[in-house]
Amino acid sequence: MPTLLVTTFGITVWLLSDRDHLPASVQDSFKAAPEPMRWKLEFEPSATAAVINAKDPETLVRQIYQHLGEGERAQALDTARAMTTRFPTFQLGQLLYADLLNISSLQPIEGVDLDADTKPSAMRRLEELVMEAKRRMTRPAPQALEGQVPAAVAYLASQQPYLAAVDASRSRLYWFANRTGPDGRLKLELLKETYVSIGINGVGKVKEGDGKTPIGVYFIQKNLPGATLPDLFGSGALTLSFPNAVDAMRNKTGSGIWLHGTPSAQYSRAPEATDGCVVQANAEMEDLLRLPGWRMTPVVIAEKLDWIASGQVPTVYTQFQPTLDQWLADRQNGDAEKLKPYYSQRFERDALDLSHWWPKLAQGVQGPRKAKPLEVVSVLHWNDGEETMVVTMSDPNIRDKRQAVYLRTYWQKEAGQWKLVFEGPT
Amino acid sequence: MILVLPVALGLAGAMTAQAALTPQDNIKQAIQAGQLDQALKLVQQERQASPKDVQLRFLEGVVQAQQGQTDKAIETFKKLTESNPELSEAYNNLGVLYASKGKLEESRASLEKALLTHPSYAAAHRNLSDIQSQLAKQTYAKALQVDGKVKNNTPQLTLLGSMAPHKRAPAQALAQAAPVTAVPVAAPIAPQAPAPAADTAKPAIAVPVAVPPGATAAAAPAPAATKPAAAAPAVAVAPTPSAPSVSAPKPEPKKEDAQPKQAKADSTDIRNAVLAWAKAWSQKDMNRYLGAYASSFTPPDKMSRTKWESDRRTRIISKKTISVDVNNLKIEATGNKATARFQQIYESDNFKGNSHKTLEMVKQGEHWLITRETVN
Repeated sequence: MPTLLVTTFGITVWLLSDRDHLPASVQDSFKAAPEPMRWKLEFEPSATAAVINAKDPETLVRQIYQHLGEGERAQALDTARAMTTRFPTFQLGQLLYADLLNISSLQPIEGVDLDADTKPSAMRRLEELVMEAKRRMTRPAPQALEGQVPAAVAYLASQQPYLAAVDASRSRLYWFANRTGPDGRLKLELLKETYVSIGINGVGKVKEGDGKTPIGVYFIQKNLPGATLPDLFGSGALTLSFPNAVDAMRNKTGSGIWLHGTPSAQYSRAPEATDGCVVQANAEMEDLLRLPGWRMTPVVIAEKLDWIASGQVPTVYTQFQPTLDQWLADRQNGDAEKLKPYYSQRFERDALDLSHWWPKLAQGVQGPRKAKPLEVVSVLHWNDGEETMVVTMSDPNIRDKRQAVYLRTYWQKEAGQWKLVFEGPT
Repeated sequence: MILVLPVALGLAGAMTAQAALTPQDNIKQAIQAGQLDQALKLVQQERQASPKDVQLRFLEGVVQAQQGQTDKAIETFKKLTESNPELSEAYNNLGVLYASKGKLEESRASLEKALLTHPSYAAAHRNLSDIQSQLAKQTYAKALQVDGKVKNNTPQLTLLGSMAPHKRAPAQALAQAAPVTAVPVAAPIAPQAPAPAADTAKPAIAVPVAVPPGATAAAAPAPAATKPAAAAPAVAVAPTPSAPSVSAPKPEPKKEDAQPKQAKADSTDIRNAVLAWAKAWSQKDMNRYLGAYASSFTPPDKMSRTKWESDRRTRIISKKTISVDVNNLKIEATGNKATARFQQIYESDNFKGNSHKTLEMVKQGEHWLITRETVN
């Protein structure tokens, strides 16, 4: 077994060096010019117990690295000890504590002696933990994200309380509160940003069982309490709307893509570990479940999230908006013939095409003029080779609770024109 | 110049408090307040009155260090350790100051000496270190989720067999003629320790944990009772599992028997000491290896002890493997001195050799330590 000390201590050195990227060789970081050793004066021996007031262990890991950076090894060790007591199933914390214990020893061990059949799994776990450490420690500080919003959001009506976004490359979930005012200018407040795990085979789900997390825009559907689920799902789950209309058109298969908690043996899971679900620590999951009105929250999942300055309208939305407005107006006027060109020949819903759906759609807009036009709740978009817009609207005319209040449409570009590829209640 | 110390220090300024402060307190407070020139002035003033005062000399060193006069501070602390070799604080500060000058080897040596001023601290430090690596191992297992699957090769800890002289009963402390520098007793407690056969020849062993309070060593006149010190609570430790928690001490033989038994016991102890030394060397266990040498050990070629230790350390640590075997061991012992002659079979990754070695040894407390090492 290679020296754990070197493996992980390498990260420490690298993290302390304030670099953006891993050095080509960790060795380089040891070549730094020697600094004269400093001392502090102490009159009475002081025994300072580490005070743990952080509620998540990641903050503690950061504190430990900070102590190390300041040359306070004893304090780093104390904090690590307290962290492992408080979060015993946080394996990354245990690894850090082990490293710190080891470097504090006169005779550091060179790894643990394991049976041949245990070794591979231990080595894999080590790699995972090192990766988790990197992901956690290199995540952008929340302050650095201030004034920025995920570029996938074009519009979010104030009635839609939250927006979530997952950056798979950083193993991070961002949960925003919608602070958009009556002027309709998008304004988001970052409520939470937390480490998440994604599919064991990464992102880009295509078929059932591929161990990948889907990329695109999904919506939270319902809550499954942890008590009703196996231990693997931890404190509970929020289900996502995979496969969406476009996924179905592309014949993507699979189901049960959830946002859920962690099993009791692990505070957090490896960055890439799930069957396709997005997994976060139970405490974080509970926080989300406690939020009022999480239903229908859009969840953008990207391999790498694009960000834009808050208030800046994405160009793609500027191009799309006239089409949407015109469609809404034509729909309000109940002129079926004017509406027809908006619908793509590729239109698909429940595996049936436009020839099946058009009569029903046309019937829906005709008849007595409705008092109020549809209200747009959210507009999101993503580009995976094909540009897609997801527009969710609510119908203020519907008073009957048994009827669907929300209507969702998917739009794609065809020969420079935005066309509807899906329309249906939600 | 009027110094208003209490105000400057933000003390709840009662005049009585000021009056109660000793000159040393004033100096400390001046240092803490960063008034180093003032502190130095106070120190020098006080030193004129009592130039030998250890605390004042120490504080002078501290002030010099804080002023950045590292060389001066080193000189001060060095002199202090020469006149007061028991001052662990001075050794510690020397270690820090050397380190600040980049002299890491000197720093290491000084810090080690700080620990050696209290052999029990050195042992505790070593034990703590062993426990930390053991804990690290367990924690790695938890981190990698392979709990219970880690093979166990536990480190050898050190159980102290005797207490420092000043902690013994006053009467015995007086009885101890020489100012013995207590040496930590490396009593192997791990099962792999070689079990010397000569059980019967051993002094009655009392293991404090296994013996009811009423039946401690003090109650049982041990055969080693040639000196009053032996009746002290200094307890020998069962070095082997074959000496299981020794039950109630046997009725002791008469004093006449005790003498030849003592010689035999010594011979066994010397033998064990030599074997332990060879084993420590083989295992590259520098603490135990260097611990086998008496403080009065004469290094070869008029080398200083520090230089010799660091040479040995470099030589031994650099080897991948070392094996030292002892053959034809012959021991001559008179009183508390002994000579051990044997054939030394040495083998390392790059050298193989056979030599006749002589170790001159001295008994310090319960332990036989090397005072001279020669090859003939």
